[in-house]
This record gives sequence, C-alpha cells and structure tokens, in this order.
Amino acid sequence: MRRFFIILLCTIGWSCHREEPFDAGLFCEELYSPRYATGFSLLSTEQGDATLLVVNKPWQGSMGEQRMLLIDPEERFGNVSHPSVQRISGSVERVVCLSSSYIAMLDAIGQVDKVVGVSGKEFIYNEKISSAEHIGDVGYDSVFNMELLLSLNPDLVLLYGISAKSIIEERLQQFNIPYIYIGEYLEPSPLGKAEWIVAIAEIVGLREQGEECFQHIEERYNTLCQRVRQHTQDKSTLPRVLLNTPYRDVWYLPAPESYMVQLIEDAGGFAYTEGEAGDTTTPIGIEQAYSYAQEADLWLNVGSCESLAELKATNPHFSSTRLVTEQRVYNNTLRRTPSSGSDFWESGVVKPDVILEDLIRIIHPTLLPTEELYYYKQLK
Amino acid sequence: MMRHRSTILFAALSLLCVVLFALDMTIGDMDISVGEVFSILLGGNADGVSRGIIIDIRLVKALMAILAGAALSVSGLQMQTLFRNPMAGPYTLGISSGASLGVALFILGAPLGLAGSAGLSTLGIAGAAWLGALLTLLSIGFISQRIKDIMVILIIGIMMGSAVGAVVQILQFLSEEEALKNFVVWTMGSLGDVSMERLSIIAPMIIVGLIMAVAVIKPMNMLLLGEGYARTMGLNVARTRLLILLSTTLLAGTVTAFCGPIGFIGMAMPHLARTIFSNADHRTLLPASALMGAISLLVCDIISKMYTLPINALTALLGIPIIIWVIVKKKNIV
Repeated sequence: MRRFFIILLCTIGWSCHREEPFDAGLFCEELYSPRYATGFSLLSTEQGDATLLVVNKPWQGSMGEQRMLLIDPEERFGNVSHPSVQRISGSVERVVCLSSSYIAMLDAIGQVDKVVGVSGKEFIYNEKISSAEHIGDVGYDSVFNMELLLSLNPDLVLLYGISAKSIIEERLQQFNIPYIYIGEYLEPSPLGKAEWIVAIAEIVGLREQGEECFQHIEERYNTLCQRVRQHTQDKSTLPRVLLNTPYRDVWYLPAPESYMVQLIEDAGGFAYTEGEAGDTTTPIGIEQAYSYAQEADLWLNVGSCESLAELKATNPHFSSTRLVTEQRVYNNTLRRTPSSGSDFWESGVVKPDVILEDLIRIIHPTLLPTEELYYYKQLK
Repeated sequence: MMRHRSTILFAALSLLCVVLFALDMTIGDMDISVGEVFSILLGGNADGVSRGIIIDIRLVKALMAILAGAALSVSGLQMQTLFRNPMAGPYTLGISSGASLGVALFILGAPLGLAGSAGLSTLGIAGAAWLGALLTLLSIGFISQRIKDIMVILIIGIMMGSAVGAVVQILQFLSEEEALKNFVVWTMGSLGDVSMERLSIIAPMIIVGLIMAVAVIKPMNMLLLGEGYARTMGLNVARTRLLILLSTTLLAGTVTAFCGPIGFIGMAMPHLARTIFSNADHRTLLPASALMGAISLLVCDIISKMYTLPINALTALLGIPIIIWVIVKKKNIV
C-alpha cells in the first residue's frame, strides 16, 4: 500500500513537471530584426514567453556555425544539452565581459553595475569598472584565470572568438556556466556594431530601452551623413585618408567597406584600401605605401604613436612627407588608459555618431561648429 | 698562381656585387623603368614620388644590405677564429639575445610597467637593441678579462644567451597580441627600417668596426696556430680578444640594433669564402667574407622584395645548404 502511494505521488509529481525539451523550431516570431547588423537575430516563441538570441557569426570564418542563447525567464524549457545552445533562466545579475566593448554596451543602457568580471582591467577606460575593487580580472589569452572566474559566480559570460572558437568555451561548458558570443567586432558597419546594444538589452530584460537607445544613435548618425552628403555633392575630389602604420616592411590597409573605411566615407573622405570587400586587411609593399603617402591629405590611426617625434622615429621613410611636415596626422588615442587601453574601441562601438563627428571635423573642418575632438587627437 | 687566382676571383665577385646592386635598385613593388632608375641615381630630375622611392627606399635598402652583409660575415669570421670553432657566428656570445631583451623590454614591457616610459621611447627600438647588445658584450668582456680559457668564455656566452632568451619568453607570454606581433616581426629581421639619416649613423660605425677587424688580421692569423703558440710568438692575446670583441660589438651589434637579428650569413659566408678561395689567410679571407656577405644579402633582399618574405627566412634557406655543402665537401674546416 505504501509503495503504491509512493508510485502515485511520483507519477503525479512527474506529470506536474511542465518543462519542455528545447526545440529551435518553436521560435518563429521575429522579436527584433536588425537593420544594420548581420551577425545576430532575436526570435521568440509564439506565446512570447522565451527568447532565442541567435549569433550566426560567432567568430571570423565560422562557416555557418552558430551560437544561441535561450533566454527563458519563465523556465518553460529544461536544461539544454545541445552543444551550441546555452540557457539562462531567471534574470541576469552577474555578468563577466571578456571584451571592453560589452561593458560600453551595458553602460549605454545603464546596466554596468551588473558587470562582476572583466578581462584586462588595466585596459578598460570606463571609470566605474577600473576603479571598482570588487570587479575581478580574469585575464586574457594564455593567462586566463579560471578559478577567479568561478569564484565570481557569474550568471553569464560574454565572450568572443577571433578566428576560431574561444579556448574558454570548453571550460565554461565543463563548469556549466552559460555564455554567448557577442560578435559585434565582425560587423563592418558602424551602426551594425552599435545595434548589438539591442541584443545585450534583451539579455538583461530591457530590450525596449535598448531599441530606443539605438534609435537615437541611428538618427544622429544618419543626420550627420545627410549633412556630409549635401556638403560634398558638388565636390569633385574628396580628401584622401591614409590609415594605419607599417609593421616593418609591410603596410596593412583595410579592405573596402570595412569599419574605418565606412566611417571615413560617411564623413566625406576617401580612404586608401586594398583587397576585396570582406577581407580584414591586406598588405601592400612599402613603396606603394610611400606613393600613397605622397598624395594623401590626412593620416589617421597611427598605431600607438602619441607624437610626431615618435611617428618619425618608427617610420623614418615617411618623415619628409607633407602629412608629417604639415601636421596632418591624427590618432584615435585621446582617451586611453595608462596601459594603452583605448576608449575608441570601447565606448566608440556604441557611439559611432561621436566618432563620425570627430572625423567630419578632421576631414571637413568647416562643416560643423568648432568643438573639441572626442576620440581623436592631432599629433604634434 | 694562388695570388693570380685570388685576384680573378675578387674581380669576378666585385662585378657580381655591382650587378646585384643594380638589380636590387630596379626591383620593387612599384614599376619604375630602368632608365629612370639610373637617371635618378646619377642626379637627374624626376617626379618626387619616384625619386623618393629610389633614393629613400631602394638605395638605402641596397646600401644597408651591403653594409650588413659585410659586417655580419666579418664578425662571424672573427668569432670563428677567436673560438677556433666552425659553428661560431656573430651571435655566439649572445648579442642577438641581448638585443632581443632590449627590444622585448621596449615593445613588450607593459606587464612590467615599462610601456609609455618616456625615457625608453625616445631611445627607440634601435637604441634599446643596441643597449641590450652592448650590455651583453660588456659582461662578456668583463668575464674574459678574468678567465683565460676561451672555451669557458664561449660556454658562458651561450648560457647567458639562453638565460636572456628565457626572460624574453616570459615577456612574450604575458603580453597581448599587438605587442607580440610587433616583437615577432622584429625578430624576423628587416633591412627596410632604415632611413638615409640612420644610414649616416650606421655606416661610420660599421666602417670603424671593419677597420678594427683589418687591424687584427695579423693577430688572427697567429691565433689560427693556437693560443699558446701565438703567445710564444709575442702576441698579446688579451688585447687581441678585446679588440675582436669591440669590433664585433660595432659590427654585429649595430646591424642587430637597426635590422633585427639576421642569422646564418655570419656563420656561412666565411666558410664559403674559405672554400672558394682555398685559403685560410685572413688577409684574403676578411675581404672575401665581406664581399660574399654583401652579395648574399643583396640576393636575399632581391628575393624578399619579389616575394614579400622576411629576410631571416631567406638567409636561413640560403645559409643552411651552403654550410651543409661545405661540411660535406671539405672535411677539415678551420
């Protein structure tokens, strides 16, 4: 008799267990379709009780491999055993960000206090993080501190891969820590990068706020683009911009339609490029670079050089060009930490409109009212 | 008969050097006609870009190849004679490790809080490398005053090189991608990071180093017979060692500081010279090694320009077969 009641109770208990097995096909509603970003999409179930963040380009050359985050606040689904799907149930309060750009995205929607761990604290410009003692530094690359990560007890880890999946992924799986790849750095479009704010906002349950935030950015950016187009429509040649500095004998130029190139073109400039659209950078010989340097009007993004003296010392061949003698060199290092952490690559990701303004002031100085540059500084 | 043969060989090699120099001037990734190249070299007028490319880029690189090739070979020859060891080269005493440490601290110094240090950045990479090489050699020089046996000095030099290499590895391990790539690219060597201004510093230093090497030709010949015998013939061995070390500092140290470590030329070319000239007399060997070094680096430079390859890989691919051929062909080497 007692055994019968135990079996009955178990059966009742088991049938009350409402968790479903995970099925990606249930997510057929498009919760948010990105207008500029191509690396993610947000889907929801018909009932709207769970969301799926699909990252279809988690790293360079991922060839169709995806990573998904199931956001399941009402615990509709049970634990997912699919290798490329991670699940978070309940709210996300403790986040570890392995890239400084994610911190900026969270800050844009006012959620930076959720950050409990970062990678390379001395490279992070955001003061709320760099001065907070309780935020752990889990290291990077070969000096990754797994024990510290575990002790931080994160609800979610935001990470990235470069040309292959992150080496940390397996270890996170081993310890059942949910994670998702944020591939904003792969977006060539400046607005596409910023649009990932919406994905991050959805993760912390504030998607509408994220959409609003992005809309403001989008409006400002497009307004600036309009003004530039009007200003340059009757110009036959645009100011020519040379980017980067050489590694010894080889100069890597960005590909057409890549991030910096799009920004410069939107600011009404012409950037020297090499290679096919979709490449990252392509090398050109030093002689070709030399001939570009002779005809260029501006030189931008000169690595870590802070002064013309430094630039001349590391690039002796270019010291006599007009670019250097007429001080037409600008670097995006105005905001950096003492250890050379660059805010351009941190908050710049969510402020493409501010970067665009800087570039317009550099390339077409008469177009906008004079103000201090935000990310760029002129090298003297 | 011997002298006659040597003279012909010198003439032929000098001619080869000139031809390669001319070839190096005409090859590059921008198409400039041969006629234009020579008219610019001879002082003719041409548009600024072509002129800039020919003079500031190609000419400087070709001259650097000649100077570096000569400097490394002569330095290698001196090391081989001093240590009576056929495997010795300009970097035997750990010069390239010392220079690497200087550059590593400069480029990768962030974990130690050295990045952005104003004093270091004004020195520049070349300065840091030279300082590293100099400090290494000073230590070796200091030790060599105290220790008589040259073999012990050789071993200490090699060990110091390894210790320094370990420190550099630690710095590499702790640094991040951009700095690491910068450092690795430096270790691949490059003749192209030199400007006319720098050449005006490099050339005198190398020439002085070569003159010092010429001054020790006779002592080096005597050392071939063995240190004990040389001493009985009246040679001041300690002073000779010092002169050779100073000369090597100027030659190999300067090249490494400005071009990064360029391997195998210093070790292979003296052997090739010995085989071609069939002569161990340093009066022949010194100029012969210098000439062969210049020729080999010109060849490597031409190939590296045609295929965009780092110079170190090419010197290895050129040097290794030569060393193997020499060893196989001729059993007694020194």
